[in-house]
Order: sequence, then structure tokens, then C-alpha cells
Amino acid sequence: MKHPFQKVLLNEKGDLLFAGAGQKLFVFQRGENWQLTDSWLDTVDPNYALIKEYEARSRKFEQETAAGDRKPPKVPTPGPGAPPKLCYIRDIHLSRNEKYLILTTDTDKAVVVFELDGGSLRQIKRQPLPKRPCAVSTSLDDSTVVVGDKFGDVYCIDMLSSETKDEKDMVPVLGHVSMLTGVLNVSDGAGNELVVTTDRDEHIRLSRFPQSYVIEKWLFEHEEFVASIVAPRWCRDRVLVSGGGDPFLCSWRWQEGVLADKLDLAAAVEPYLTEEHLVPSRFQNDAGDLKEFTVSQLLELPSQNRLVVLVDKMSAFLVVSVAEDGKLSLERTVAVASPVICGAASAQRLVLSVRGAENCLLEYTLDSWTAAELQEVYGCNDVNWDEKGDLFASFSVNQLRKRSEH
Amino acid sequence: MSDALSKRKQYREAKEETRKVLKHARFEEGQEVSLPKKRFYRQRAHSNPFSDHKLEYPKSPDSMDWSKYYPGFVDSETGQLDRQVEIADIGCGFGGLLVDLAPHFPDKLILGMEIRVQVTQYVEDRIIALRLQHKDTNKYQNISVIRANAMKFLPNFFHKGQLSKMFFCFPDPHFKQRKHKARIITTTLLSEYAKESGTQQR
Repeated sequence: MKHPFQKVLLNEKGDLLFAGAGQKLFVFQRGENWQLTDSWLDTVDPNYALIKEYEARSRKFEQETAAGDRKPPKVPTPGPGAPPKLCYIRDIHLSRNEKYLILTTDTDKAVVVFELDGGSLRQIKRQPLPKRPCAVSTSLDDSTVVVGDKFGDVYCIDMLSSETKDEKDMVPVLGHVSMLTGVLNVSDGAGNELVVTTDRDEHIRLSRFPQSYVIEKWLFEHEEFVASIVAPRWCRDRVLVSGGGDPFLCSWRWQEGVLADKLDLAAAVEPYLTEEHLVPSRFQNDAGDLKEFTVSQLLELPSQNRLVVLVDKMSAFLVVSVAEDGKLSLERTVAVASPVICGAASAQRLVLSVRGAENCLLEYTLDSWTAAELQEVYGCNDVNWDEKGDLFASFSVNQLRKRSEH
Repeated sequence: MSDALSKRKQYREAKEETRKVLKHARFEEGQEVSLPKKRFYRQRAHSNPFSDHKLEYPKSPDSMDWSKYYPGFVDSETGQLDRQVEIADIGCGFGGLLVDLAPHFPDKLILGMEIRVQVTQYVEDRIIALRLQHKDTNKYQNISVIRANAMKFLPNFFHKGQLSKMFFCFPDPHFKQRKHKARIITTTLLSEYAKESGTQQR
């Protein structure tokens, strides 16, 4: 069985489509049809850290041969009980000028920067990080990649030079004490740049950039983790919209630091909730019918001033309009044949990757909200998936929910 | 061993009851209140700041209800405190510093924050007992304690520039390189402390 795309991305014009399946990235260009123009496979050994440590030790051993009859270091091998290494391309991101493509890998926990030339990729640099990166943004002038990791630290990486640092020498520019879920660079319209970071502890932090040690504001309203945050461009640097483990979306007039609107999604989502949304048995109520849902992704549709809201493991998506002052209103819900994994949007296109046996990539027309299967794209996907391992099924945003007992 | 355990458990349960009663009710005259005994509240000296504890914390500084922590400073008209917490002792442990500071700053509110449950309960019991013992002089009304993870949730408690003093006494040193992130003083956390203490760059 083919591995579905876990991450898709469209460029602004909508003529380039980037899709990640497992550890492989595909680039498609739109002419008459979608055509595969390039692909890239992450070939680094998943035991990167172990191997690196071994190399350092054996180098040290060779230098100290005078030390006598010490044994050479052993080649490290993970034990039989070691958990499998889940290696994915977690995030794909385009720079603002669309000249560079940035993605994050799990094998060596690196940020990889490519230069785009039409539809082909040229790798510029691969910068490993101390912890697994999970959120990427670029500075407004496109010179720096801002990357947040699972440890809550944010690092800046020079995008244009091919020089890399050792991961031990990387110094974070700001940090949360919680896993980061989003990083976003915004402008306040008066020439100042800020970086917005969201984490698993409900926080949305606004710091100056690059003086990120100066915290401008915290935005408080969420009661569960924040999974996705966007700055709709038609609101002209004034509004942020965020969603996550809460059954509502928040929109913020962030320059004043106030909540502009709160949109409850529970009623709209309720008919589409299935057994997969049941709360785990330990936290379930007596009747056993407690369900929860998570907003997994917010996609901008700039031609319509609307957002597409994707909900984790749900066979539908919501369309929400955002006014310039941040007012949110639910426009419609569109049912999809199978659960949506992720999506991408551009001015004229909306592409969704869904779970299923075949043809798991759908394109929606934006006025009639009807779907067409992108067979020519999905046909190029040659990443196989052993469903027994079921790695992908555990790929869920809902796991970020905090369930503590002490 | 099991004997000692059950004794400790009984003691804790009894104290839990008093804690509940004392927080919500007034006392009769002449009731004898003794200071809690430390040996019943022992707990391992470390707590993982990254784990998801069952913590109670406000959604934002505005939604924090301080009145039950400082009943002696509640404005009878508004039901709110007449001043803000100004001194924080982060990782207050068994509350020695809190208790010593209280008479020196009688008009300032001092808050202890501690992540270990039983240690927090000890400080709570200690403050309750001290307040009762000094009922006539109204001493120790200006100190209180909260179980909190200050590394994660300090911004949820305090506004920008609200604190004038922050104490970090005897923090867990975390010598190993890979544990440095668990230190309470790190370069990345300092920017949060700077914001709360009003020493941030403008």
C-alpha cells in the first residue's frame, strides 16, 4: 500500500505542488497537467546520533593509541527492545519570495534548505539541530530560517550561506518550557518585526525579532494546546487566528493584545465525529460517549478572505470567513469521502491529502466545493507503507493533549 | 515501614481536613493550633518541570482570584485585593524565607511557588497555623503559597512589571549538559522574568 502524503504545500500562484510522503519529497509543476519535476529522499541513517557519537569516540581512541591496551570503541547498535524510529518529513515551508524551500527531517533532526529553480531543487544546506524541529518560519527579509523544536527552543539559521554549525554549538534565540507547535514571523505594519511562538501549554507569545529576548505580549484565551496559527494577509498585519485542542477558534487583534472574536466549532463538527474521536478509556465518562476534536490546520484562501479549517481525523472541513477586524463566521462545512490528513491552499486551489487505499489527493474547486482526484500526482507516489507498523495512524495532533494525573 | 507509612497517611488526611475547614470557615476562640510537623511531608527533592502535572493555574493574570490566598487584604467593597502580589519566592520549599520575610514587608504581598505537592501542603498548613497563632496582631496575612510550575506558567500569574523582587533560592543545579534546559535560570527563561519584574528593555 502507498504511504499517503503527510504534508502538502502549494506556492502562491498554485502552479507548484510539494508533497511529502514518509521520507520522500515530491515536486510537481502544473502545465496542462501536474507533472513530477523533482523528488528528494532523505537517506541519512536514522541512528545518526549514535553513529556520530561512535565516530567521535573512535577518533579520540586513535589519538590516544599511546594509552596502551584499551579496547577500541564498540559499534553502537540499538537493542532488540528499542522502539522503532519514526522518520518523516514533518514540515515543508516556502520562503516569502518563493525562491527557497525549507523542510525538516527526523533522521538527523535537521533543517534542509533548497533553492528552487522552476520545479527543480538544489540543496543549499542541511543544518542538524540538537532536538527534533517541528515548526518553521522565515524572517520577513528571507535571510533567516526561524525554527522551533520539540524542546521548546527556537533557533535562527542563516538561509543563504551553505555553512553549517555543529548542533552542539547552536544557541537558541528564545525558548518555551514546552513543545513548540508553531512559529510565525509577522510585521506590525510600522517596520517592526515580531516572532509569534505557540506551544503545548496554551501560550501564544509575541517577541521582537531579532531581539527575541524582549517579550512584547502574551495572548491568553486557549485552554488546551495551540496547534495552528495564521496571520491572514487580507487583514493587513492586524489579525492572528489560532486553533488547537479547544473546541473554538480564536482571532486576535494582536497589536493591542486583545481577543477579537471566538468562534465555537462544536456544533458544526459534531455530526462528523466518529469512534476515532472518543476520549481514551481512562479519561472516558460512564456512558462512554465523550468525544473530543482538535483543529489540526488552518489554511488561508486569500482570494476569498476565508480560512479552511481542518480537524484531526475528520471527514470534512470547515470554511470560515475572517473580516478585516478579526470577526469570524462559519460559512459552510464540506464533507469529504475519507478523513483529511492535511491540506494546502493557494489563490485558486485547495488540495487535500486524505486517508484511504488509493488516490488520496483531492483538489477542490473554490466556488462549488466539489472535489476531483489528482490521480496523476498520486500515481507518482512510490513510497510504500507497511500498515502493520501503523506508523502513520499515530500521526495525530490530538496526542498533544495533556492528560495528567498528579 | 508500613506502620510509619500509615501513620503519615493518617496525619496527612487529618491535616487535609483542617486545611479544608480553615480555608472556608471562621474559628472558635481558644482553639489550639500547632505548627505542622515536617517529617510528615517529606518528598523527593526533585520534580520534573517538563511533565504534565495536574496543576491549577489561571488562564491569564486577569482571571486569577487572589482573594482566597490573602483574605486579610480583601477590599470589602469590591471583594478584590487592594494591592497586587509584589514579591515572589520561586521554589519556596518549606517556606522558611516566606515566614522570615513576612514581618519585614508587612504591607507587601509575598507569594511562594513550589512544585512539590506535599511540600506545598506543608507551607499551607504552616501559614494557616501562623495566622491563627498571631490572630491578635494580624501577622502573616501577607504571605501565601501556590503549587505551580513557575517555569511554564509564570506569565499566567503576573502582569508585566508586577513583581519587584523574585527569589530563586537553592535551585536544582542540573549539572549534566543535557539537563541544562531543566534549570530554572536559563537565558531563555530570563526574558520571561525580565518581563514580569519590569526590567525588560523598552
